[in-house]
Amino acid sequence: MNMLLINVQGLIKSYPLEHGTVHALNGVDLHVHSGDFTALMGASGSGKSTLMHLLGCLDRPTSGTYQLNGQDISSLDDESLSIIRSKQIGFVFQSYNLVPQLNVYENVELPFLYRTERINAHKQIVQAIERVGLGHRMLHRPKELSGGELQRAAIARALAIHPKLILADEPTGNLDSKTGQSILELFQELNQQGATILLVTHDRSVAQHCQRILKMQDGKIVDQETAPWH
Amino acid sequence: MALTEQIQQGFRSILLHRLRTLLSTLGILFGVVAVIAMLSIGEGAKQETLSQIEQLGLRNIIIRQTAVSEEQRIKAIGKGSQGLRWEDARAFQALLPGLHSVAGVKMVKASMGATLKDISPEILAITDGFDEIQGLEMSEGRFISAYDISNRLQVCVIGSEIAKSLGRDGHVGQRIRIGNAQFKVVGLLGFKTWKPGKTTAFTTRNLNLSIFIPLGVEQGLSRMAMKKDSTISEIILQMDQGVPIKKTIPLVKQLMETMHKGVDDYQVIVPQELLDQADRTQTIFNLVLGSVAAISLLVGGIGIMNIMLASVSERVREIGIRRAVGANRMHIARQFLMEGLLITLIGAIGGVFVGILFSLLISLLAGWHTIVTLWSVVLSLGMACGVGLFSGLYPAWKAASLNPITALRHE
Repeated sequence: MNMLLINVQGLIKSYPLEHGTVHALNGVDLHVHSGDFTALMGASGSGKSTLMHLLGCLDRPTSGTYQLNGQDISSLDDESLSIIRSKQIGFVFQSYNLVPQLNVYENVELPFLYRTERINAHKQIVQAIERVGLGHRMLHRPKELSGGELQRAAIARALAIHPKLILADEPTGNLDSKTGQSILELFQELNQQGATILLVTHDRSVAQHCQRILKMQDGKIVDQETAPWH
Repeated sequence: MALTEQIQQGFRSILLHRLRTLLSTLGILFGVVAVIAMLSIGEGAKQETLSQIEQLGLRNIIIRQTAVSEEQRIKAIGKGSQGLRWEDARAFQALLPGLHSVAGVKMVKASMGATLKDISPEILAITDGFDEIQGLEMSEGRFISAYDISNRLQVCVIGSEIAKSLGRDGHVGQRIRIGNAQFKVVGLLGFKTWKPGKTTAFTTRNLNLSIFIPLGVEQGLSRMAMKKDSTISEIILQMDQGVPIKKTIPLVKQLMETMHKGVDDYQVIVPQELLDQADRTQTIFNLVLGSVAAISLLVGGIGIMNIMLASVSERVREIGIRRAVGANRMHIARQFLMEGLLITLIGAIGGVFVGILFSLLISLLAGWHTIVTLWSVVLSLGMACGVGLFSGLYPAWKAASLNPITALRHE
């Protein structure tokens, strides 16, 4: 049995608005073990993005607890959360989110630059870039890359830090189906090599690349399925 | 993030918009140019004044005869003051403590021989010791001696430019005509640098264009130098090294007043006092120019703030990305502060070069004396950096306080 990586209990996130309060998350319980490849599905407004941001330490819950790798992080300050992001979490976004003025290598290097302790990450960076098949594009700027290559570069950035958790938010949303397929296959390979991946999508055919699908509705996880798929 | 990486990334970012960066540096550039150019003009004027004053001699006190009003003349006759005379100098020699040496000068008007008519040299009847007080050096022969004076010898010493225009006749042993007499040249002065004072209120003599004769010999040389006129134009008192001039002045003035019986037919000029005065004027001048320059730097700073605010709102997404991969608020704030500072520094360094060029141009075209001091460069760079940092503060704070999630979603 793999160890428990994410332990979420009764997570609530609410936003005060002019007329009452909106509960984006309304009591989420979630367990993710290391090595899992999980899909988070739901219509827009179901709270899946909010949950992903909380899991990614970009935000703090209104109430409830979130333990990542045994560490309670629901009440950490900005600085500690930033350190966790730079060391344990790799983000992959729908719109790639690479810094335009930096080349592929420098984009992948970015998380290392924000760490408090300096390590020589050169080998890790090059390995990650070669792992996603962009060895020949190392010194290219984002505007010189295709959509598939941009997403591979983003995955390399997530991968390079050897994260505990990779969070992918609609990673194939901006890609044609063939390129999207190759990106999903890359995720599957990475998972087989031990990476823990949480993939957010509204597309069932994308979600079916994972071993488990969690369905969200109105700020709650309402259903859970596991492979094999029919 | 290490400093070198920060600088490197900062350069990357500001090079994204080369033209915009360049334009926004201009404000700072002109500010720095203003600081450097104005201070160089100020410093030039100061040096000029200083060298003028130093030509008078900082250890000296000069008493000059002044033109008297009709009223004063009547008073002078009534009270028996005979104007400035060599006897006054003798009184100082006897009574003034700390007096090192004393010299008298009388400006003489007399017609000259043909070759010297056009350059109208200044004829100065002087006492011995004048050369020492003025720091004159001979290039040939000797200066007027006490023997020349007591025997009323018709000898003269000529300035270097006089000697030059006399050509072959401008040497020791030759004779020149002054008024109705022939004078034997006994010495030639070495060249002494002399700058016409443009900015100063007092005049100094161009000794290169002067002819020196023993005091007393001038009497009866011409209609304009009458036989009975024993007044002199100037007494120069040189004090001992280390004698406080300021404490000596009241004594000098008191002595003069007693000897001249209260008649105001002289003027006491103290180079030391002039120097203090010039210093004060200079400080005010610098302050005024400095504030003008500071205002233009401030305007430049507003430009930087403007451009950094634009940069922040343009790069909200980038801020979100950096936050997502591990940057905390301080990292983001430092990044934008660094970029603002880099833009400022580019402008400031450009401004130093343009400023130096500008002050060279001023001295070339306007003929003003300008001096660029290291101090003004350091000051303007420091001021620019301060302005740059200050202008970057608000944009950096704004960038740092963005919510990472909203920043990531920003289109």
